[in-house]
Amino acid sequence: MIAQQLLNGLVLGGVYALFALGFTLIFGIHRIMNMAHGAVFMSGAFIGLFTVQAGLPLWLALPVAMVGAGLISIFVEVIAFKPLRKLALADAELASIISSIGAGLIVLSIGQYVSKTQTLRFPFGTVPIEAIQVLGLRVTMLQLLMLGVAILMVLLLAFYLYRTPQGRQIRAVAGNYRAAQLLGVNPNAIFYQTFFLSGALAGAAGVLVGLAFNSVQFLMGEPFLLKAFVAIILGGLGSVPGALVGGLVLGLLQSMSAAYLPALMVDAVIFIFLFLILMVRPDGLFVQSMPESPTKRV
Amino acid sequence: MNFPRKTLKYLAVMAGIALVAHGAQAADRKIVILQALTGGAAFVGVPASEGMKFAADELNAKNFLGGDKIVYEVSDSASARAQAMAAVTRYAADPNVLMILGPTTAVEAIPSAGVANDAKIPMKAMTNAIALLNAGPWGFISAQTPSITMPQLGDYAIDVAKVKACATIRFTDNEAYVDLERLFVEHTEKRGMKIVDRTGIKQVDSDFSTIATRIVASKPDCVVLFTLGPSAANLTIQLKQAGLPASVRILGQTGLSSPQLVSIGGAAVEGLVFNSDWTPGGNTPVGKAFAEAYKAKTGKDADNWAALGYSYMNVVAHAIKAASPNPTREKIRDALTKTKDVPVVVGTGKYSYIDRIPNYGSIFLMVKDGKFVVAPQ
Repeated sequence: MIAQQLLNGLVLGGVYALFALGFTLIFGIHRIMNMAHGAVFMSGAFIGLFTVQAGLPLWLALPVAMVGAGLISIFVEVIAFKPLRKLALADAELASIISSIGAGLIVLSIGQYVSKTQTLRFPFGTVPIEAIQVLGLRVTMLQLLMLGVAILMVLLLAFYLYRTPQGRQIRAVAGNYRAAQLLGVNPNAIFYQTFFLSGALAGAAGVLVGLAFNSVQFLMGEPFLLKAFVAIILGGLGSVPGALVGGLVLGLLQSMSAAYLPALMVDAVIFIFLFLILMVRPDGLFVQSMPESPTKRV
Repeated sequence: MNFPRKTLKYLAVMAGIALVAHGAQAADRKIVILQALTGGAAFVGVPASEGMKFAADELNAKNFLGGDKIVYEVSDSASARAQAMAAVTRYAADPNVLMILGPTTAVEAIPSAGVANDAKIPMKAMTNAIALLNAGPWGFISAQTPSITMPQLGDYAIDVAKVKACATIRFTDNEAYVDLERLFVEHTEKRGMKIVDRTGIKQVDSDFSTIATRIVASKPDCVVLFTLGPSAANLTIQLKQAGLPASVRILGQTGLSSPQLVSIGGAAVEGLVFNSDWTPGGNTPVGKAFAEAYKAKTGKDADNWAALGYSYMNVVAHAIKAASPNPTREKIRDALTKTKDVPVVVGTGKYSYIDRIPNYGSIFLMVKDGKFVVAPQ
């Protein structure tokens, strides 16, 4: 059973990582907590579901959901964060948390209205659900799909950030906002890019979760948002590799706790582990230097 | 100013007529339907409130209160205890409100019962959490308590399904479901059943892969689900994906009685058995008439929650009638306490309170060909 639970944890951790990557990307660039990220994740699942219900195949629904969730993420940036950049840093941090909660509630309410508060599901047969035996483990096509998409997304993100001119600009803004601006980097373009990327990753995670766990509902992002906090604090706030490792560690920890401990203890174990890590490494597993926030100078 | 004597007499007669007419005028009997229309319990609160409204409209159309009208105001508790408590406080302050029909879940209802008792307003909640009654005589539960239904489920598992080793999965964030599971385990263990695993999930969870693997490893011959329909559907699918043999019986309780069990669970939930308040389509003439009329009016099939809502409003209407012609909150509370054999569409068709504990019998349903049918009893 241990090997099977490790596999379950790895798959779950892959989704946590995908979710946390988008979350940490925004924090890394903007130094803000996007509390609407769970709602964007949910919207991705809904868009993917409606695309499949409209008759389009899943391979097309996934990118459609990513683009849709990316655009919704930009909408969150425009209504919740952009107007706050004129505030001083201390004010902006708190205000951005509150305003992103508000933006998230708007998206949640739309999701609730559209779904009539019902739990929806992808049509039966969208992905084969039968399990196959591999080295004594039961593996479903969905689990393989989730792992595959998660790995692909991480590789694409890494390529974009480290191998393209746009990625270099993003990293330049994250490293030193003022210097990047003096060198001609357009900050608004960077903000839109990062929010789009973040939303697209959340949208992909939403579709995968909706498929794998057979459930698309308007509150589906809430538990993931809390877990994403743990993953990125564990990995190091703003660190892309940290979010990846944090997500995987979290998934494994959750699976093993649920497998061998009473159900009520799972969350306690996760947070005890988090506090132990923070006692040893207060900046998380992957220490990230903290560039200046752009919010205090625009 | 002086009026002629004749004019004064005329005015006095007119005033007398007006007074009598006013006294005989139909009165509004105001009920607040306080249900979870949003949030996690909305899938209960929305259909329940629709059933309640449908019942009130039907009763008014039939002049059930002899010309008086049931006037209802629908309010959203948002599945949140704070909002439910605030709503009870607000409506208790309105002297026109005779009683509150709600809130929906134990989480909202138990603390709200304290408020209702302080304000002395009858509150009939959807839940079956018996702890609500401890707050005082103004709080009522509506669904049958686990102390009645869980032994029935346990006996069904042992005597009809013939299972000997069960695993249980319950909601851990809803007191009512924790209570259901505990009573089931206590009853069945006394009768010699072995409980091989007891685990829990939260209402918003959707990933059950770890729990499913754990349950399968415990090799049960039955799994009993103390959750609502959508979660039960996903649990069943993921249990089967994790390798649960088809021979393992899956049982559950009233919470599973939702069309979403089948729409989400598909073929995986075939053969699943649960005890239920409501038989889809109705199992009595009154139930069948309700099912047809509800479908005709709303375009939807009545589910368990709509049927319960319809039944509870009927119980309330009978209490108001018993407390008439001048119903007060206190009279309605007393009438509710004495409720006996009120015709309803759930259970065996008669609703009674015995020491404020509801009793209306239950039946067992199973999923067959994507539909709920009466299970072998």
